[in-house]
Parts: sequence; structure tokens; C-alpha cells
Amino acid sequence: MQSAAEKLFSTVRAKLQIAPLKYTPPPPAAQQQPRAEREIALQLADRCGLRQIPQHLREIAEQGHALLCPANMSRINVGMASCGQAAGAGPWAARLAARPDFADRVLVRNVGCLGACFGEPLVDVRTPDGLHYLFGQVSSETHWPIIRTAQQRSLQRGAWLVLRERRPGVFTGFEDLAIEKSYRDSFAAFFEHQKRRITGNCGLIDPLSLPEYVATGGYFAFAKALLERRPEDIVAEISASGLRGRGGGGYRTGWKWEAAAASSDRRRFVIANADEGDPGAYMDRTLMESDPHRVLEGIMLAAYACGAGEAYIFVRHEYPLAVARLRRAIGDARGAGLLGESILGTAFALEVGIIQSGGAFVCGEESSLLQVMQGRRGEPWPRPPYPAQRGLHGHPTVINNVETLANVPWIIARGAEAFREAGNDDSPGTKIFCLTGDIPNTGFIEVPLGAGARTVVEKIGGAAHRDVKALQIGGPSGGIVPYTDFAMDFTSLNTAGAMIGSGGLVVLDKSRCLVDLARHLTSFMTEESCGQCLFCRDGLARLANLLENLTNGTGDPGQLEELAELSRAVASLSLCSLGRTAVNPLLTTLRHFRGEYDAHIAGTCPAVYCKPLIRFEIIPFRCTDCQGCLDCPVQAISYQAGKGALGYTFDHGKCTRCRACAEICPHNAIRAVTGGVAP
Amino acid sequence: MADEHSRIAEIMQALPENERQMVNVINQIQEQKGFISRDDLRDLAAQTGQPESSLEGLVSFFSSFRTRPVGRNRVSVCYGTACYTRGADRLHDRLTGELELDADGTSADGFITIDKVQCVGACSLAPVLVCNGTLEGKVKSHQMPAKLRELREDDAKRG
Repeated sequence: MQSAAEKLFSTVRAKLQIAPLKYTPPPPAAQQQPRAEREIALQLADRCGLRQIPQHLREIAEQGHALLCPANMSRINVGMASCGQAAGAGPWAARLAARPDFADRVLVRNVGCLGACFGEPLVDVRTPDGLHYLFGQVSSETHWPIIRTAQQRSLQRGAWLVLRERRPGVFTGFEDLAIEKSYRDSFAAFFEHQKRRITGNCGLIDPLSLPEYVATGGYFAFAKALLERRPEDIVAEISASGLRGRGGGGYRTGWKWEAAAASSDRRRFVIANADEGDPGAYMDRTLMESDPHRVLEGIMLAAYACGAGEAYIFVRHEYPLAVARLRRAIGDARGAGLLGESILGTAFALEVGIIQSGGAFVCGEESSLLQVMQGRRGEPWPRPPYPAQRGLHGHPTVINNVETLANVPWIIARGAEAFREAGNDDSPGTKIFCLTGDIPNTGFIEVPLGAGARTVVEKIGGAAHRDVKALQIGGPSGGIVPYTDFAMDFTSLNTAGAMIGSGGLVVLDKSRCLVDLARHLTSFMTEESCGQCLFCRDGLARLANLLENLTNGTGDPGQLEELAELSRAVASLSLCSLGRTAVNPLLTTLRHFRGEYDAHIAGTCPAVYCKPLIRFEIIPFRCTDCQGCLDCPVQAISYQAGKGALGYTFDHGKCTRCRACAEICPHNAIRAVTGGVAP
Repeated sequence: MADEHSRIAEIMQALPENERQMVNVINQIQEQKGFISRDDLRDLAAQTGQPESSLEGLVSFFSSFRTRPVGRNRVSVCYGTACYTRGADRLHDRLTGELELDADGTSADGFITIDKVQCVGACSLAPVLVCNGTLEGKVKSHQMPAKLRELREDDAKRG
């Protein structure tokens, strides 16, 4: 029976051709299944191969599950990692949480980052029937739809994507979600082509909540290792998985662990390297901010496997939020009896401390990191001995990158064989990349190693093929390579002259000058050189100087030879990998984009970017004479009224090429041109 | 001096025992005092028995440790690759162009310190700046004069 009002509404809708807003979920065959609260711990233990669940862990898991999948309440997840906060999610989430009508109907939780940073502030509404409604770029317009979706438990206008729990009421990470309906295809594609293993919790659980992490299977691998496996089994499992370091070097994790475990020295350390210095990479920050317990569990497993009783997390100075969340995670784990003395009733004891660096790129190098931890300047030392043999205070020390450690619980829970299902023989598993630069869908993504560059850039990143000129991969030690469909794994990238580094991927379009970018990265490395080796310290400075000449328009053809020769010398005569790889951006651009260098010598900048080689002009037919550009900070634009576009004159001598006029102009009527010096 | 002395000891005591590495202590001093003075280092040397020269070496090694007072406001322009390609230097040029700063990036009246930071890890919002601890993404150079005006007004209010 339809009421009169409903009839009226449907006639109006039909007349105005508005599709009904209410979204009907699929027939609830699955809803007849018993709710999974009681069995969730059993399911998780099954998946991970844990025979006896400690009662205590079981209780925490049930508690967490009740928060993740509340039976009679909706749950709103607000993304509150650094990116979400910068996009203004903070005050909004607070207002939402304070709503009195939400009290026993809607749970509001602050979560980390789902990876779709372009969609921030991002909100996920989970209704009790196991549907997740994702709202992107939340503004005042989507404020009400979100509240109503949560309250009425059905879709309102404005959602970007609807995800469904494969078994409603069972949610243990992103893998349990399937796409139900997409209202914005690029957003769906962003998730569709990923394989989210270790980022599976990011943006879906509250990083401050230990129970929520446990309810996704967290600490089950640790319990299994501690109660039912020997340390050597864990080392063997990691070796069998073929896991390679995710911080840049790509060294096999198993080898490091074996070396430390084999040592006769009983005092051993584990250090998580979170000194993520690569500009353009923020996977470690995201993991620490969005899923700190996973990092911590990885550290615990490493410590157990290698027989270490002390562990440290060495974090960048620039990541205050990550430090705060890790500190909270360590405190909570200790409270739950997962850290400290006799963990889970065994003889195993572990303390985890946090060291905050002072901001130096070279500290990502493990020997430099150890120097700083011992109160000395971070100057690397020649290896061997490797830290795994003789590290902190002379004791065996396993140093692994944060992302590497975050892989460990997954491998121990599911086994090496399952791990190898993604990636290829040489580079097994998945890798997180940070997609940034000139691309619509910026964010952090997880794909199997060996995925094609076009899948990543075009399908996930949403870029148009013709717009992309080059990719800058692996931070300042990586390279700048032409955009082709190469496989993104350790070997293929090395062949191209780049490296995977920590996984930064800056997409560059035609408006980016690669000579200038090489100059920027080289001078960055010059500043970050610790100064021990002559060629790294002075050679890089000279290279930066030569590149500056080119971008200033004062280069000559002989300089290209000097660039190539000197950079080879820097690469071969430096002690640590900072110096050895610092010239990669320069060498790769010289190899792949020689034409741009030649153009700079001839006095033009093909990307119309380098200040001394460009000038500005007005495109008369676009100009509406609005006078916006007269806001020039150096008054380089003079104006005569009544002459339209022709009334504007640039004083090229005065102009500082700050581009303020071009940015201000609402009609794109001001453009930069290159070639020849202005009159 | 005696007060200061105990202050450094207090900072050290506040750290958990396994986190009393020198770099952590120096970080804490900077956090609480804004910069690391000569006196602080001398006290720290006395407390720990480390030679002052080696502490000085540690401080000068890092780019984020400051040995001179900073301004009342702090704006850091991110110079990570993503921010750089999207115009970080335009932001920096515009900010410094509007102000008269010393070699440390601090204005003579102590109103502001402008510095560069190597990637704050918010690359998807490039270009980014950190204004008094708050991240701001997708900023444009022509917004900088207004930003400075705003900071100046707040500064005047606080007296």
C-alpha cells in the first residue's frame, strides 16, 4: 500500500525524471546467517593457523569486532591522517561526533587514510547490513546526505562508491569488501586495480584502537609465532617468502634475519627504519598513522625471530602525528600484555622505544642511522661488517624499513606461499607506491610488484596517456624515465636506470622542465651529503652548479660532457649509496631527454619553466580587461585604460617570473613563452 | 644557570629510559624551548659527560635543529619533489619577497621564521606549507600576502 504522499512523490519524480534516491541492497540471503560476533576470533585463528587462541586475545577481538561491525548501529569513519586533517576533516568530525541524535544510533570514529588522498576529506558510512558508502571531498553539500545515510541506513545523494562486505557482518580488512555500485568510475577504478594486503586496514579502522586491529586478525600471527612456532621457523618462513626490503635497497629480509639469528652474541636489536627521507614518498607515514599496530606487530615478530629483546623505531622529525600514534600503540600493546616481560605467558620479553631524527636524508642509510642512535654525526661507515653482524653498540642489529615490517604479520599469518601469489619470482609480494604530481588521482596505492606502469598511472591514477611526459621514480636517488609500460619491480626499474626506492612516483607532464628538476634534486643531494667523501661533497656541488648554468641560459655544449664524466666519478667514488645514487636523476635525464639539455644550451626551455629563459605575454582574444593581473608584486605590468588587451604592457626587465599574474588571471589569458630574449 | 641546569635534567628524566638517546634529548630541548642554545648544549654536556664538541657536531649535522631563536610564527614551505614540481619555489619566493629576513629566515622583529622543509609527506596536496604546525595543501603564491597579513593581525592581537 502506497500512501498518498508517496504516490505524489513518485509522480513528481517521474515528471522531473529524478531517479529514486533510495538504494535497495541486494536480497539478504547472507543476512540469515548467524551474526559473526561470537565466531570472529575462531575465524581469524583458522585463517592464520593458530590452534589455541589465548582467551585474552579472543576477548579483545570480540570487543573490536563490536566496534567495527556494530550490530544495530551505523558507523561513520572519518579519514584523519595528515592528509585528511590538512583537507579540513578535523572540526567536521568533531561536530559529527557531538550530535546528540547519534548517541546510540551512529558511531563516529576517526580513522587513517584510505589512500585516495585526492578524495579527502573522505568519509565511509557503514550501515548494519554490511554496506559501506564512501563519500569523497566532503563539503557542506554532502553533510546531510552522510548523516541521513547513517541514520536511515540507505543511500542518499552524493556517495562516490558503495562497497559490500562479502559476508555481511564479517569485516577484517579491505579484502572483505567488494564493489557494489559505483557513482564515480575513476574512484572505483582507483580501488579496483589494487591489491590491498598490508594497507587493508588503512582508513577503515581506528588507528588508536588496539581492539579494532585485533578484530582484523591483528596480533594473531604474533600469538601463533610465540605460542606455537620456534624463532627459526619464523626466520625460515620469511626467507621462503622472498620478501625484499621496501626501503630502497631491495635486500632480502630473510638474509638479514638469518645473519642476526646466527650470531653468538645474545644481545640483539631490531630497528624499524621510519626515516622516510625520500621526497615524494609517504607510505611509511601512512602506515604509521593509519595502522600503527601492524608496524608494531612486525617489529615484535622480527624481534622474536632474531632473539632481540630491545627494539627501536627511528622516525623522521617531520612526522609528529606518526610519533604520537606509535607511542599510543606501544602503550596499548603493553597494557594488553603484548610488550614488556613474559609476553603472553612465555619467556619472551621486549621493549620498544622511539627515536626521533633531526632531519637528514642520509639517516635512511642504515650505518648512518646507527651512528645517530649512538649520539654521533650520521656519517655512514663502510660495510661489512653489516649491522646484522655488528650494529648498535657492536651488537647484531636487524634494520628493516617500516613497510617491510608491515609485510611480516601478513606472511606469518598466511604463509610464504600465499605471499608469493602476488608479484613475480624475483620480486614477490605487493608494494605501496605514492602517486603524486600531475595526475588526477593522487594517493598511495598497493599493487603487486611487477604491475605495469600504465596500469598504475592510467587506470589507478586516472591520467591521460598523452599528457604524461616522464615518471620520477624512487625519490632523489631514483631516476627520471620516459613514460612507457614497463614492469614496476626491482629488476626492470634498475634496467631503466631508476630504482624502486621507497616507492615514490611523481608523474610529470609536459609543463615540467626536467633539466630544472635534475638541478633541484642534485642540489638537494648536495645539501644532504654528509661531507665525508670528496666526490659526493664537492662533485655534487659542481654538478648542481653546471645544471644551474643550463637553467640560467649560460650553459655551453662542453658542459654536457663534463656533467656526464663528473657524475660517473661521483657514482663510483662515494662510500655509501647516497653518493652512489645521487646522480641518477641527472644521468637518466641525460640519457633519455638529451634534447631538453640541448635546447637549454640554445637558450630555450621546452617546458617554458626556467625563469631566465621565459617571458610573459597576453593572449588578446582571451583577455577581458579585468585588471586582475595588475596585482603584480613588482608592478611589472603597466596599464593604459580604454585599449582593452592592448593596454597591458609587460616590463620584462622588472618581471621576476613569479607567475602571480598567470595564476590570478581567471581566463588563462596570460601565458609564458620561451625562445629569444625579450626586447 | 642552576635553574637551567635542572631544566635539562628534567627533560632527560621525562623521557622513558630506553629513549634517552642524545638525538631524542636534543629534539625535546628544541620542542620545549624553540631552539638549542649554547648554554643548553653546555649543560647537556655536563649532564651526560659527552664532550661539547661532539654535541655541537650532532646538532649541526641535522637541518631541523636551530641554534638561534625562531620567530613567533613559523611557516615551512615543503620542497619535496611533488611540491617542487607544483611550484614550491614560487611560494617561497613570494613569502620571502614580502619580508626582510636574515640568513636563518627570521624577520628582524621576531614576527616570523620562513624555512624550507624536505617533504612533509602530504604530496597529494602539493604544494604544501606548514603554518604554525598546521598543514595547508594546494596553496597558491598569490595567496601569500593575505596569509602574512592574517598572521600579522593575530600577532598584534596577542601583543
